Amino acid sequence: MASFNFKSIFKKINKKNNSLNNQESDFLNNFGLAEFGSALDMLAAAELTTTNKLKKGYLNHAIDEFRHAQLFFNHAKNLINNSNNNSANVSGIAEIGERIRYLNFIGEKPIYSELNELDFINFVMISEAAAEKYFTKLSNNKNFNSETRALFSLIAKEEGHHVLYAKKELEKRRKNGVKGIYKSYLYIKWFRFKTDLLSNTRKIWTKIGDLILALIFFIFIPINKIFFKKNYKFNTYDPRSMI
Amino acid sequence: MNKYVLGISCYFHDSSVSLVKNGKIISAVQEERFTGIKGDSSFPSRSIEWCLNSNNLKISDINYIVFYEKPLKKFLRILNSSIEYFPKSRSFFVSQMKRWLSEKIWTKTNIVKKLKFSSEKILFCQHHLSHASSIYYTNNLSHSCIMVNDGIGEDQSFSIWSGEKNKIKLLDEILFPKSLGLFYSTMTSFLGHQINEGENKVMSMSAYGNNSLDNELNKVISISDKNIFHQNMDYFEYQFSLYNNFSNKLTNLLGDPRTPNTEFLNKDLVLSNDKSEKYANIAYSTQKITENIIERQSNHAYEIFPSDNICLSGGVHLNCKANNESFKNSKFKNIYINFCPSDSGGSIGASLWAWNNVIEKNENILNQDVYLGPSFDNDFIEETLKDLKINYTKFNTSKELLSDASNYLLKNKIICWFQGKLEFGKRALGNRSILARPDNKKLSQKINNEIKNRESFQPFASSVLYEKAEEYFDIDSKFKNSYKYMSVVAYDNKKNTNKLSGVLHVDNSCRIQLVEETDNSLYYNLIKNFFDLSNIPLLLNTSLNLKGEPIVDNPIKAISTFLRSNCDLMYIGNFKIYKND
Repeated sequence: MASFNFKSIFKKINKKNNSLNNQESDFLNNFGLAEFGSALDMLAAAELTTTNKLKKGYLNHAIDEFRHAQLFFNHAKNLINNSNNNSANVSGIAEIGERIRYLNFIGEKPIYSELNELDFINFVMISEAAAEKYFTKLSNNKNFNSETRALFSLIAKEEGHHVLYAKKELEKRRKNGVKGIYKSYLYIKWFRFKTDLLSNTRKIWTKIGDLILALIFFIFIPINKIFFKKNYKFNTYDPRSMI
Repeated sequence: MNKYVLGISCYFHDSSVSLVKNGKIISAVQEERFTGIKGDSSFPSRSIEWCLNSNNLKISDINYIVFYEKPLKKFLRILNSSIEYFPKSRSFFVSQMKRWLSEKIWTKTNIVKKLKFSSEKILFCQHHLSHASSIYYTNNLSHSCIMVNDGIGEDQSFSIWSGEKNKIKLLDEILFPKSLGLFYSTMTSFLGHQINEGENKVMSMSAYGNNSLDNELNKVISISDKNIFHQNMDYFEYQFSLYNNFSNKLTNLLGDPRTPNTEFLNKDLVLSNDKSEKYANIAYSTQKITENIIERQSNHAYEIFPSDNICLSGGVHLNCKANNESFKNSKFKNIYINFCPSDSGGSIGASLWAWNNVIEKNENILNQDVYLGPSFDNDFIEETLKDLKINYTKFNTSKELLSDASNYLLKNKIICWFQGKLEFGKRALGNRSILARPDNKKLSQKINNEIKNRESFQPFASSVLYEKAEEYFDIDSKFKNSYKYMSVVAYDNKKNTNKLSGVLHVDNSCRIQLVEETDNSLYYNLIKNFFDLSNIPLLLNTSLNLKGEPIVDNPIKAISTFLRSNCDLMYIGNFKIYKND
């Protein structure tokens, strides 16, 4: 399943020169984390669904996404190993968790529990179709080397299979007389548009926030530095206080 | 009437929740187990929900919620660092403020809003006091020295406490930016591993090195008579940077840092080139200096609070080799390290602190159960297996299950073992484990390379029958209370080396878990059955998870892990499933 933020990752990577292995590796790692997050979504669906027949489908889908994540991670690792990169700026484990959440909009609850079953199937279908489209586009992008393009092509193909599974399930429901399938489709379209918008807005606010904080830093921090006492100490102790 | 305290730790790393009922921990779990995100630092909503639901409680039944640290105190430390290191601290300030202003600073409000809980009943313990409580109050000791060593709390990186008659009192401390834990984390990052995840890999690498870089590392950090240790902050940037831990000066001193995931050992499991040798020597000196400093710290602790007992907590004490080396010649007679020395144990410490200091003032209860998480009955597991259309074999009795599993272990099979309640903490202690026989080096290499995708230099732990341990390892009675949590390494005593080839590290050490029947009867009897068949009273034990994932909590995650791994069989409750199914 595609992460909501995939589009922006692609935009960035398209601007890069294909010789920049390290940057390409970073982007591939981001894809890996996004696929990993999607696998967690599908695994949660497998745990939570009360439709027993779908349990296996969700689990298989999760296993596919875990495999995609691993393919991206391995390819990113190979790119780094083939370059003369000596950078050891290694992220902490908690930062990686934050990136998985950020890339996938993972909230406190799994996305499955925020939607009903029908909405979730539509969500899978729409997201996978978007991923298939993006990966197909990337697989034709000559900025990437042939191995990377082959990887994108493979993933696109498999995302296509996921779309078919979801479509099949919806079709089965339609034949069984389930109503509101199209309504659910429209709702998920809106839901995704909303989250995409939120994602882009978040990026704008992040940039504005950075600017404001940088201003605060250059205006207020020097003033405070004049009065700065290194060995501050709190002697009072109150269990209800946050300080 | 029952009284309940809910402890929470989050927003740093390893979020967790613990629930105390009348002084006894009845449930505890890390959020990562539910979300699948390793080291998850987010607000532990799912853990709280599970703790309440599994005990049929509502949030209104909780008397107090305790957070494991003082957020505003930490915020002020960060602000002070930004001021002190101006203007180099710009990106540190911006990224920290974003995190703090969007979430961390509102900790109390978040708890009130998310849980609909009265703000009057929310307490805040201190970070190091939570650590100290997590070990002192779980052991029911009347008199003990307590030593906490981690990266950073609010502003403390090291502290010594007295534990007397159920009261904990601060005796000495070392404040940020000086920090043994952050020194070790910096070297972890220098050696190409993830911070808060790869420290154990540095410990493993150190066994391949020698002391040729001791002089260089001594310029970075060294023992000092006056202040325990001296740390030259010119070599570090963690005090004003979130992303770079070390400065160019360290690179000038030690050369290029190691690129992550590059080969360290070759196929014959020896150092692959000169660069690997250099990194091994850096790891060796890092480990050695750490051990020496901890020894110095413990001597200082004994000087200011002599006692027979010392309790150790904080992430630094996950270093099971240092725990052994630093206390070998210690004056303390009993060393206590439990199942949760890292930040996830903060929730346990905070809730026990509140129980012993705010609610009941004179009652300390022994709290040593590590199996505090979710469990699943056989009916639920069978239903899941049916839903997933997985063929299985059902055992009617535990005896049949144990006999079957031990027979397959004997036949060199690698098995996934999912039983009973989930363990709390970093270590798999026999309920969510991958197991194999310990005398087959090929099996351990297979687990490293094909199952866990770990680096080939990483050794495995072993679970040993308590009464047989001395026939295989040098057992130090000082650590008798710590061995059961895999907190200390022990060395091969050369009596049965051939039976340990899959679990012995290159320096002949092994992280051991001594298993008694009273602690985990099913697991004990599995090892016992294997012993009856093989005359080997131990098993190779590694956690049931794959690379980058936390230990599994439920049957679906366990099955997903099993299907993606190269393990041969899985025993889940009273059921056996095969790969070719």
